[in-house]
Amino acid sequence: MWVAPAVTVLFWVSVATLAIGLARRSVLWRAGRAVPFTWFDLLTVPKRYFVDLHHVVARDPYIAKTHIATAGGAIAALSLVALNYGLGIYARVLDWGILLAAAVMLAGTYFVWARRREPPQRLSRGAWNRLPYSLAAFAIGLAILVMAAPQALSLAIAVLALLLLLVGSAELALGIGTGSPMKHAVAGLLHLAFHPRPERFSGVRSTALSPLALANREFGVAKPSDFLWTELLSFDACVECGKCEQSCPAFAAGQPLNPKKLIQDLVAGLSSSSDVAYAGRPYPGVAIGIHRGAPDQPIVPKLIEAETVWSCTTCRACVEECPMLIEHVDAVVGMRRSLNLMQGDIPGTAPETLSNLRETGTQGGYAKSARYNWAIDLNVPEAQPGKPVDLLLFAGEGAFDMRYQRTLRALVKSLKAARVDFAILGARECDTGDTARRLGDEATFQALAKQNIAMLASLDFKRIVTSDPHVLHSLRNEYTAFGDNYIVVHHTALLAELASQGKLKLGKAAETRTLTYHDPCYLGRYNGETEAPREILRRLGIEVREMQRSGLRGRCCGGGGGAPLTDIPGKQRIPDIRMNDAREVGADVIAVACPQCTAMLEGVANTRAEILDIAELVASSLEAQQ
Amino acid sequence: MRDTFTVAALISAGRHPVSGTPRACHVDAVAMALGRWIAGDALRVVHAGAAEEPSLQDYLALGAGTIEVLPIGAGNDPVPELATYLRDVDIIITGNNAERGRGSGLLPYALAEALKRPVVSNALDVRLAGSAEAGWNAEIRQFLPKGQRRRIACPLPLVISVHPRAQVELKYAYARRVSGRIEIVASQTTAAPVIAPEWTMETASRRPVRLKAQDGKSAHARMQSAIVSEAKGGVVAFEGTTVDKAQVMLNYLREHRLVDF
Repeated sequence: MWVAPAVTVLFWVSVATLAIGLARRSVLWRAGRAVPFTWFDLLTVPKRYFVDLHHVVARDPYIAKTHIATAGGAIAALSLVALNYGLGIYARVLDWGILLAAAVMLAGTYFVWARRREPPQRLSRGAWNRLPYSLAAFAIGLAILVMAAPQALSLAIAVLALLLLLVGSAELALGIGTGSPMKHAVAGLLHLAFHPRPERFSGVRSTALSPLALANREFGVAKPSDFLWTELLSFDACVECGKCEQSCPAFAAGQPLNPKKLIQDLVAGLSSSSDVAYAGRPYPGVAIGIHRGAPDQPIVPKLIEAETVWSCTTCRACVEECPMLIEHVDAVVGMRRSLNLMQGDIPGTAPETLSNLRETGTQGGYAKSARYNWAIDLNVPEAQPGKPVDLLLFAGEGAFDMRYQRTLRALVKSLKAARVDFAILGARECDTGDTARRLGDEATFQALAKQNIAMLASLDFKRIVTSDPHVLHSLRNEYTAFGDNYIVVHHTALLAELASQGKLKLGKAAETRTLTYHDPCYLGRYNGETEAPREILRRLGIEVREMQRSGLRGRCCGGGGGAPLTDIPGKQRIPDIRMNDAREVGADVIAVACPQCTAMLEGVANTRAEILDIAELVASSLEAQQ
Repeated sequence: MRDTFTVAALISAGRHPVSGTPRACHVDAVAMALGRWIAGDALRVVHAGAAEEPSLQDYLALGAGTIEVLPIGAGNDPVPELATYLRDVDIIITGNNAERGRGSGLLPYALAEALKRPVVSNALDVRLAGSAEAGWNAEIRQFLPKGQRRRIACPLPLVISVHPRAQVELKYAYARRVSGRIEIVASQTTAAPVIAPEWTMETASRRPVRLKAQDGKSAHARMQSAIVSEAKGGVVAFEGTTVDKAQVMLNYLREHRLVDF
């Protein structure tokens, strides 16, 4: 009978097709910049897949189980086919194994089909909609061919089954070469092996941007081939599930950004095609089908509009949600760097802020000597070279904002109540350059970082405390690339520590209104600190009514990444969306822990919840005790 | 048609009014951008002073390309040198005021006098009309207080000083700062340099320019007008349709010559 040899031939033809496709696709990836790697990285894939990736996928149990059945069944079936037919063993017992695997796979494809009957809006349609059918064809065709006894199999059924198997095998084998949906399987696994941020898999929240070697004329990403080849590979791993789109604050606000579309446009760029075949939701307000790119063509504006790149708040919600562990924010900042450093083309009031940073070391163009004016009557010593101190207070740009000065004063009062040995920086302090860096101005960031590092080197201190998570992130995670490591604590972590040591005696707060806590992105997602603020609130006897999106998955206030400066128009404002989140849980007070969040949420018009910093709640409880 | 006239922008060393940090003098940067708009790549950018001046880097980032530096000792009068060096340039464009040194805005006038050509101050935009045969005319929109503008025409050659509110976009790009060049030009005059009197330098303070006429009311009257919300001669258009209200606005704008239609 000819059936078994036919399966053997089909198997090896498919393997060859897959290999040729992979070779062709890898030529596209290799257009990217070189980065050192070893083939041994491939050994890390099982752990990274089953632990790190599955950790994200498992947040949606339906699709997690569906994928385990479909992909697991397919891989088991293919392995057994490779053994039994690829090597020509033709053992009957292995056929039973293939049948079992195909049945599991078929069950999985049923649930894929069920979800795709009424798919959530975030899912892409188009080619993705044919997957349940082509995968089912593979499973059914394979099951019939291996199980039916040769004598019982009529020629018509055998040919039909072989055709089904052919259709399914084409979907699997051609995916990588033609850039159709099944490319995610191969590219996804390779992406796990050669991830641009391998530290992510060793339990580190790898969130610092990589520095540019400006002296080597590295000015960011102007064209797709300016990405690392590992980044190009990562874009190909995208499964268009739209989890990023669902979590993106700019997309929700109707600004022209959709992280899923962004990644798909970059795929179009690396493969010299257009977005005509894209079948998901567009960038709000931007038509689909007009974007076209090539590896050596500028990305902006033909492939991606500049407004899209400037809409991002760098909140990393997309990265947190991405089951394929793609780094969207790195891609956005890479493109911003090129627009900024090469063309100086930045919208809104951002150019003014950047020139202020260059010329005054403050975002608002203030005198550095005025940064600590709010502390003038608090008798806080100023840090001096040669005078050791336990703790330095690094106030950041919030120090110039009259509203935020109340928070800083509350913090100073709390530190004094706990008898902490601390000093303010005074006129020595320079902006950390966080905003400049997110806006792509790496040159200004590096200049400011060098100034601050030299300034801090002249002082004798053990730790730095700051109330600004953006300052915290820069000092703790990003200055390390320029030469120094500091122990940096956020004021909420410090206050929680002082309270647990008994140095700060917190009583029951007078606050009886319903309270919710808003996690700053740069404290939560960037640094993993979500517990200390809640612990303080517990100690104050305040029950936190959590918003639906909180902790590591909290929604951005809209204040990060220089987004309030570029100010790309949308249908509504991001802080209004966040305020609605608070309204939904009936909160009268939103506790915050960041100057940006304070300013953004207080900027919400009409009746809204009151905004109080954790430090203010602590200080008012201390005052009530006196 | 552009290569039939030549344009040079004069740039000075700027200082930030608050921090004193070296930077591109804002209005000179605006003048340079306006010059770039007129002359394109043919624009020459000239600085009289030290080639080591750190603020020149900012001009490179803002798109100066190549800066020609006429070495002038500190305190020396740059006008004779500049006049000799730029005598064949049709349009000399610069900012109204420098941010430091003799920031009195005298330089465009002194240079125009030395070159015996007209000077137009407070330019907001410049267009060139005419042809190589018939001669070129510069059509200049000039800033006047209270929102008024004036359009004047002037034959070449001339000196233009630019108002800081000229509508140009300044784009600061670090890559241009790195790729730009500074070229030192040989001294132009053999005459002994004129030593200017000693000046004491201090950081300029940012003074808001008040366009509104001062009214000679007493302090009490001013306080009253600030705290008592009574109508002060204006019209409060609560009544009527939106068209009526718009008409009231339009009348006000016409009365104050803020619109001319």
